[in-house]
Amino acid sequence: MRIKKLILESFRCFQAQEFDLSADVTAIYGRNGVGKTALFDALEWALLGELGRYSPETETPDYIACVFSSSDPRVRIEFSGTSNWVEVSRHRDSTSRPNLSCSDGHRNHRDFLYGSMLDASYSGPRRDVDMARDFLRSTALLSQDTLREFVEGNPERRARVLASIAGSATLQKRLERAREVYEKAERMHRAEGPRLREAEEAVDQLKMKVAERESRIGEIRRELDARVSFQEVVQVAREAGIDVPEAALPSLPEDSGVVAATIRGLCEERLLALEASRSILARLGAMSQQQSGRVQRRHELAEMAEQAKARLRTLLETENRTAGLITEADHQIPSLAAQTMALSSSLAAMAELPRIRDTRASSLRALQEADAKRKETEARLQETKAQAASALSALQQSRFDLAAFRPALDELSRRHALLQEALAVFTSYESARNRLNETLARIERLGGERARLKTEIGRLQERQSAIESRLRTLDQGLATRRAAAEEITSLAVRLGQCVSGQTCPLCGQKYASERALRSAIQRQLESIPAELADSSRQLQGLASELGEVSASLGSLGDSLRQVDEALAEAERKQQEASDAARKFEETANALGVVPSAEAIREAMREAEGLLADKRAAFERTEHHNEQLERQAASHSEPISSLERDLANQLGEAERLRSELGKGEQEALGLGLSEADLGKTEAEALECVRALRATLRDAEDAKRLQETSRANAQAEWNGCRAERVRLEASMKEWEGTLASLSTEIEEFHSVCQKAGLDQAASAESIAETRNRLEGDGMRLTRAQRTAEAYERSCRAAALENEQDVTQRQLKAAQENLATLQKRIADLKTAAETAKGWIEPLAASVSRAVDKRMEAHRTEIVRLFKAMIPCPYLFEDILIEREPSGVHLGLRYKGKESPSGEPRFFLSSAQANVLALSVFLSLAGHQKWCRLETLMLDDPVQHLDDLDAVAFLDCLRGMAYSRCGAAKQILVSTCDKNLYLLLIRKFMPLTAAGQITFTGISLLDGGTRGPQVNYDVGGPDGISLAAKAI
Amino acid sequence: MENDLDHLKTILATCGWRDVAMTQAEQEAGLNGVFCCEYAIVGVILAEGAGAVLSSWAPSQAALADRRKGSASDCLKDAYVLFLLDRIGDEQAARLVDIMSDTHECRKVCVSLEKRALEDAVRDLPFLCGEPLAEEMESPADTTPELRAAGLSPKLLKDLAGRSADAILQNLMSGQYQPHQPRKDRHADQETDP
Repeated sequence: MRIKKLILESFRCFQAQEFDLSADVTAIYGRNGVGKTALFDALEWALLGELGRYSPETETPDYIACVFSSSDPRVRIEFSGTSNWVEVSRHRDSTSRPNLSCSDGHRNHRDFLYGSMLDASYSGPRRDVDMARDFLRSTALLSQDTLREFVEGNPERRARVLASIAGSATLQKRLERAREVYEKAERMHRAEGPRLREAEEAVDQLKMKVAERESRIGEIRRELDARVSFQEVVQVAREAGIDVPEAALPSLPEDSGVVAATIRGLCEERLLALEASRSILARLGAMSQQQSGRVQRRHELAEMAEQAKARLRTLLETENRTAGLITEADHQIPSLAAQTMALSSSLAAMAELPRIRDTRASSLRALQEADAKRKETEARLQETKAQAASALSALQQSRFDLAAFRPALDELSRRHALLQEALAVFTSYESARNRLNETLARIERLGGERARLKTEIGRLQERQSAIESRLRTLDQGLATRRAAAEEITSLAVRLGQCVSGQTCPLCGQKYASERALRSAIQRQLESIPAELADSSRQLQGLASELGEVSASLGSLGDSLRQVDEALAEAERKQQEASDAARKFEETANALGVVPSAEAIREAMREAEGLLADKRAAFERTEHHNEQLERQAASHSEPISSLERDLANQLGEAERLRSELGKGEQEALGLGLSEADLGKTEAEALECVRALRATLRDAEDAKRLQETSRANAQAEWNGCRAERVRLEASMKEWEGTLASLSTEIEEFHSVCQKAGLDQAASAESIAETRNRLEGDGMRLTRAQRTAEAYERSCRAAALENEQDVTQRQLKAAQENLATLQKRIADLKTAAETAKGWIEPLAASVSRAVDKRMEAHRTEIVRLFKAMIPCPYLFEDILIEREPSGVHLGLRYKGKESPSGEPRFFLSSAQANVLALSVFLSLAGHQKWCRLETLMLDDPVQHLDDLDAVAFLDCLRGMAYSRCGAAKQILVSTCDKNLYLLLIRKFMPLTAAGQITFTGISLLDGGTRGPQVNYDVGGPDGISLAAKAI
Repeated sequence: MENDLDHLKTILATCGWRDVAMTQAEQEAGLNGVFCCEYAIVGVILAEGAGAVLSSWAPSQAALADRRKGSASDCLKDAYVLFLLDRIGDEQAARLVDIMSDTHECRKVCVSLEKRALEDAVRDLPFLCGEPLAEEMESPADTTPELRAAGLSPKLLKDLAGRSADAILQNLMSGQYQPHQPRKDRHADQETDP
C-alpha cells in the first residue's frame, strides 16, 4: 500500500493543492517556511487524526486551517493497493475530532487504523488508538521535532524520543504523567505542612487566651464585695462637689462605664489639686513666722552699702594719683641706667687702646711680605703651563691623524669581506641564471599548450551548443509528431465510425470497404511509432554524443587547470630566480665590479694591497702618538708642585687678613673709631678724665628717681588692699539683700496662690487647711465608688469577649481537622501515584528495550554505514537509567566507556543514530500495510560526507532487490542535498528500475506555496532527460 | 588473497554486482578488482594493513575517475574505492581519517575484517543492498495486561495518556481510580474501548 496522491484544501499554508506522490522516491525541496512540514502534517493528520507535535490539550484551530481561505480544512490521500483513499476534514473554528471517510467504509481513525493501516497479525493492544498511532509513527513518519529533540535533548528528553521512535510514546507519556502526579502530590503534601503548624498554633493560642480571660474575670469578681449601682456613683460624685448634669447621663447601660470612668478621672484630678493646696498651706505656716525679721535685716544692709560706696570713691582717686608718679619714674630710670653703662664702656675701651694699636701694625707688615711671595710663585706657574699646552696641542694633532686612518681601514676591510662573499655566491648566481632561462622556455611552452587547450575547449563548446540546438529541434519535432499521431488517431477513430466507401475527405482516396479503410488506417498508425522510435534513437544518439562532449570538456578543463597550475608554478620560480639574480647584480654594482669571477678576484687583490699600505701608515702614526703622550705627561708633575705652593701661600695671606680683621672687629666692639686709634697718649688721658665726671652725675640722678618711685608704690599698695576688701564686703551684702527680697516675694506669691492676703496670719492658714481635709475625704469616697462600678463593667465586657473567642476556637479546631484530613489524603495520593511508576516504567522498558534489542544488529550496521570511519569503534551504547537514556560509543579495544556515555556522541552522530533506529524499525516489520517512509528534513546536523552515506542507505531501502522496497518521501531545505538526491537516483531511473519525482516549493505569498515538479510528476521532465 | 577476491565476487554477485575487466591504470594503481551495478562502480583493494591505503588511494581514485569519464553510461554512476583490510592498527587509524573524509573524486570506504567473515564485514557498506534481515517476528509488546494486573485501571491508563497532572490528582483524591480487579473475561482487552 503506497501513497499515490495528496489533495489539500485550506490546510495550513495551502489553499487548494494537489501533489502527485506516486513515484518510488519523492524529494521535496523548499526554503524554510514554504510548507514542507505542512505537507507532512497533512499526511499525519489524515492518517492518524492528530499531529504528534501538538498535544490535544494545546491544539487550536489556527494550527490546521489556512488563514487565507474561508473554507474548512480537508485532506485526501489516494493509495495504490487494496484501500483506495481516505479523506479527513474538520470545521475550521472547531477543535473537535476530525471527520473521516474512506473507501473501506470506516468512520473514525480507530477503525481506519486497525482496519486499513495495520495488518491483521498485529498483536499490539487491540482497539487502543494511541498505541496504534505510536506504532504508525515509528514505522512511517520521522518528524523534524523528533530528530531535533533526540539530538539536542538531555537524557530525559532522549528517553521520550527513543520511546516515540520505538512506537511506545503513549507508554512513555503515561510514565511521565504518573511521575508528574507523584511529584505534584508530594509537593502539595510538603506545602501543607506549614499551614498545619500554623493552624495548630492558632488553636493553642486561642485556648490560652480563653483560659487567661477566665482567670481575669474570676479575679475581678472576687475583688467586688457588693454590686454598686450607677445612681449611687452619681450621687456620691455630686456630694463631693463634681457637677454631673442630667444631660450627661447615659441612655444605654453600656455607656455608663465610660461616665463612671470620667467621674473617677475628675475625682483623681481634684484630689491631686487638693494635695497641692495642702502642701502650700503647710509651707505658708512655716514661712509666716520669719517674715518680719527678714524685712528689718534688709533695711540695715542697704544703709551699710551706701557708706561703703563713698569710701571706695576716695580710695580710687588716691590710687590713680600714685600710679601716675610710678609711671613717670619707670620712664626716667632706664635712660639714666643706659647712660651710665655707656660711659663705663667708653672708659674700659680707652684702657685697651694701646694694645690694639700695636697688634694691628705687626699684622699689616706680615701680610705685605706674603703677597710678594705669592706673586713670584704665580709667574713661575704661568711659564710651566705654557710649555705643557704646546705639548698637548701636538698630541691632539697626532690623535686626529690616527682617527682619520680608522674609517678608511674599516671601509677597505668591509669591501674585502663583500668581495669574498660575492665570490662565494657567484656559483649560485650562475645556476639561477640558468634556471631562469629554463623557466622562461617552460613558460613559453606552457603558454602554447594553454592556447591550444583554449582553442580545443572553444571548439568543443561550439559543438556542445550545436548538439543542444539539435536536441531542442528534435524535442520539438518529437512533440509535433506526437501531436500529429494523436490527431491521426483521433481522425482514424472518427473516420472509422462514418466509413461509406466514398472518397475520403482527408486524403482524397476511395476505399472499397470499411475493412480496406481500417487496414489503411492501421498501416498509417503503425508507421507513426516507427517514426517516433527513429526520433528517439536520434535523440539517444545525440544524448550520448553530448555526454561524450561533456566528458571531453571536463577532461580538457582538468588539463587546462593543470596547465594553469604548472604555469603559475613556473612563473613563481621565474620570479624567485629573477629576484636572486637581481640581488647579486645589485651587490656587484654596489661594489663597482663586473659580475664575473675574474673581475671579483682582481678587485679582491687590489683591495688587499690597499689594506696592507693603510695598516702600515696607521701603525706609524700610532708610534708617534705614544711619544707625544709621554712628553705631555712629563709637564704635569712641576705644574702640580707649583700649584700646591701657590695654594699654601694664598692660605697664609688669607690667615693674616683674618687676624687683621679680628683686631679691627675688637676695636669696633670697644667703641673705638679710626680717630680714637689715631690719638696720642696725652689726648687719650684727657678724654678719660672727662668721661669719669659725666658718669658720676648720671649715677646721682638715677638714685633720686628710684627713691621717689618706692614711696609712691607703698601708698598705692595700701589703697588697693582696702578697696578690694570693701568691694568683697559689698558683694556679700548684695547677695544677702537679693536672697531676702526673693524670700519675701515668694511668701507674697504663695499667699496669693492660697487665696490669702500678702500679710496672712497663722490662724487663717490653719482654718483653710481644715476645710481642705473635708473636701478630700468626700472626693476619695466618690473615686472609690466609681472604680468599683468600672470593675463590674469590665467583668461584663470580658465575658462578652470570652464568648467571641470560644466561637473562634471552635472554627480553628474545625479548620485543623480539615487540614489534617487533606494532608492524609495527599500522602495517600502520593503513595498511590508512586506505586504506579514502577509498573509503568517496567512496561516502557520492556516495550522499548525489546524492540531496540531485536533491531540492535541492523541499527549498528546502519550507523556504521553512515559514518566515515566505522573501523574506529565496535558498538553503540544505549543505557536506560531512571534519569533517562544515555548514549555512547564503545571504541575498538575499550571494554567500557570512561565517563558519561552521552559525551561520546556528537550532534551529527546522534542524528545518525536516530536515523539508524528509525530506518531499522521502519524497514523491517510486517504489521504496517503502508510501505511509505516519510522523512521531514532528516539531515539537520550532518556534513556532506554523512549526508552522502545517508542517501546511499536511503537508496538501498528504495531499491532493495533482496528485501521489500519502500516508498520514500523525503524533504530538505538544502539545495545541494536535493540536487545530490536527483543525481543519486539518476542511474536507477534511467535504467527504469525506480521512479523518481523532485518537487520544489516556492513562497507564493498569500496564494500559498508554488509547486514545481522539477523531475517526474504529471508535467515534469523525465529524470533521464534532466540528467542529459 | 585470491580466495578472498573470489569470495567477494560471489557475495557481490548475489547483490547484483558484476565483475568488470580492469584497465591498465587500475591494475597499476593496485586495485584487485572492479565491480559495477546499475548505480555505482566500486574498485576493491584487499590488503593486510593500512599501509596499502596510504600508498594506493590516490592512483586508485584517479583510475576510477578515468573509467567514469571514458563511458557515457558510467559517468552518471557513483564511484567508491573499497579497502578491505585484515586489521587496522591504532596508530594508523588516525591517519586514515583524512583519506576517508576526502570526497574529491569519489568516496573511500575502509572496512576492517578483524577476524570477521567477509559476508559480515561487507554488510557495513552503505552502497550495498545486502541480503534481507529477518523481519520482526513479534509485534510491539502489549503491556496493558501487566499494567492492569498491577492494579492500574483502564480509566487511569486513559487519563494518564490524555489528561493533565492536576486533573488526575484531583480524580485520585476523590477516589476515582480504584485498583483494577482483573476479570476472568476472555475479552478483557476490549475494556479500553472509549
